[in-house]
Amino acid sequence: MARYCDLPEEVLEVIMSWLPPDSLKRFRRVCKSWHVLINSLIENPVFVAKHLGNMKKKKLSSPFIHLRNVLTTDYTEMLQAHHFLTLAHDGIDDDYDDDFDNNDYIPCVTDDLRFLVCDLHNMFMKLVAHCDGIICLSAFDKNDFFLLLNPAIKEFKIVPNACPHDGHEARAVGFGCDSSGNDYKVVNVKSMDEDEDGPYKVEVFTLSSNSWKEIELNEEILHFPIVEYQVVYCSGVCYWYFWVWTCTIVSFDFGDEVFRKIPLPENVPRVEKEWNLLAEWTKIAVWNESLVLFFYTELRPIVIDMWVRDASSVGVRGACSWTKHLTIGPLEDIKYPLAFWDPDELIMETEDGEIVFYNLQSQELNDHTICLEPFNSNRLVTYTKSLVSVLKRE
Amino acid sequence: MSSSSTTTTTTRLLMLKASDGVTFEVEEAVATKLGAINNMVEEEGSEDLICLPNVNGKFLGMVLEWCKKHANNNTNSDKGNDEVNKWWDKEFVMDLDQNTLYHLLMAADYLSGTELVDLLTEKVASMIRGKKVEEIRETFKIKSDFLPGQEEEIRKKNSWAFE
Repeated sequence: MARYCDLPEEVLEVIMSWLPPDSLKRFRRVCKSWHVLINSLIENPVFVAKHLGNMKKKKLSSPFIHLRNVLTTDYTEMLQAHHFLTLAHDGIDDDYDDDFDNNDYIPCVTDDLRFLVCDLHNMFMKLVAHCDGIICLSAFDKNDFFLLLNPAIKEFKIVPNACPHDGHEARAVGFGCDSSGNDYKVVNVKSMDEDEDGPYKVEVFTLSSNSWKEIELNEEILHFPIVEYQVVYCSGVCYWYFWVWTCTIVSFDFGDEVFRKIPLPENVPRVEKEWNLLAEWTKIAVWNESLVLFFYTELRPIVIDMWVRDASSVGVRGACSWTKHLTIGPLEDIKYPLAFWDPDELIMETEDGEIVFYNLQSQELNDHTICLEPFNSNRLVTYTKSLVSVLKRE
Repeated sequence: MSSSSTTTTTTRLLMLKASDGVTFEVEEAVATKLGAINNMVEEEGSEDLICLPNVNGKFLGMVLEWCKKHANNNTNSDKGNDEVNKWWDKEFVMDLDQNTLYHLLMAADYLSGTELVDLLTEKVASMIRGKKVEEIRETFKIKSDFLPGQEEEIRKKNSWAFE
């Protein structure tokens, strides 16, 4: 008979490297030896790295959703982490359990985060970006205030203030991983002049050293206008999408700490006429580790062009190619696309604020929907849960 | 037609003998996908019969079947190769029952088939993730050895850590 308890510890360790953080934490209660083993594994950088790799692999290669949450932010509710674990989806077991009625694994952990944030001077926070399970939040009205948190292991860190604290206005903020150095960084571009474009001051916070440093802005022609921007992180690089007069994508590579201007796709039919109008009808996203642009218009039913940037050209200055991957729609009652759930499923928001899933293969909306109440923000991301600590780094 | 360079090397055959006496004749390139056999071949040299007293024939056969597929698929360097392997792996673990899975995993671990261990552990993980603590004890035949209250203590120790 199968006696799984007789599995050698090294095999048990590999099994555990495939388990989402929630399950791992819960399974500490199985018995004393599991308690000791799991506690030591989540402290072990080698295991944490392997685990992270597995969680990412899982996301890319299967439609399973156990590993992901969807986070939403809106101006009044601050950050909400919605655990989409009860979602009916083909072939999926739910990752909730008896903790469900014990406040630990409630589907919405808003209260927890709100508690954190209120505790921290009652600030309104917004989601900057996320990477390897770590989420970076910044304060709306305080330029130097950043939080890094990993909700899966319940850790958060207040990033120390940049020194000297200068109060200059933040124009672009990003967060990501320097994969070569295995380090996480926050980048903060500030303008020395409140109303004008530049001169700019660029500061980079490095988690391993727990400190800020100032770096040179390499590109003279770069502008960081005073506008809301979209920002995504993808494979060691973060991308800001600004829309004012002209649309611009600027990237920052966390490895070489260099800014680059990313050309937009040419020949976007919907774009040519009215850049201004278009600004509001564009979304930047990440798909299969590539940068994606969605173009649409105010016309309804909505038609969305999905453009994909050739991943192989990442980092090569100027040499960059965009391909129109797909035209989605016309779709009734859809407001806009939000993010990719997995390579085949695009999450979209309906006019009623409902969340729906569009399958890129079948080119149809799926039957399942999910209600996020209140959902009136167009900021929604999917992320991979990890065991990566924001506190203990050597 | 000229003979391609890849087939000019003579493929050596190894005999693998399972615990129940069942023997398998396999190409060296296939068997050496298993780290343990690779070591034996390298260390012991010309020995053609390898006895594996810890693995029975049924499971050794399945492990070798997996090795064969992966060895074959790896020879042609197609781009879709990865996809084929992935698809085949999925089929391989699809209908494994708990008992077979356990013995296969033990065999793969004993034979140091790292890739196969990865595949099988992922399957085990997919079966237990999201499960309740009680269900895990049931599956793994583990009895809780916590003192009264200890388990509850661990459950409660779940507050945010910060700096």
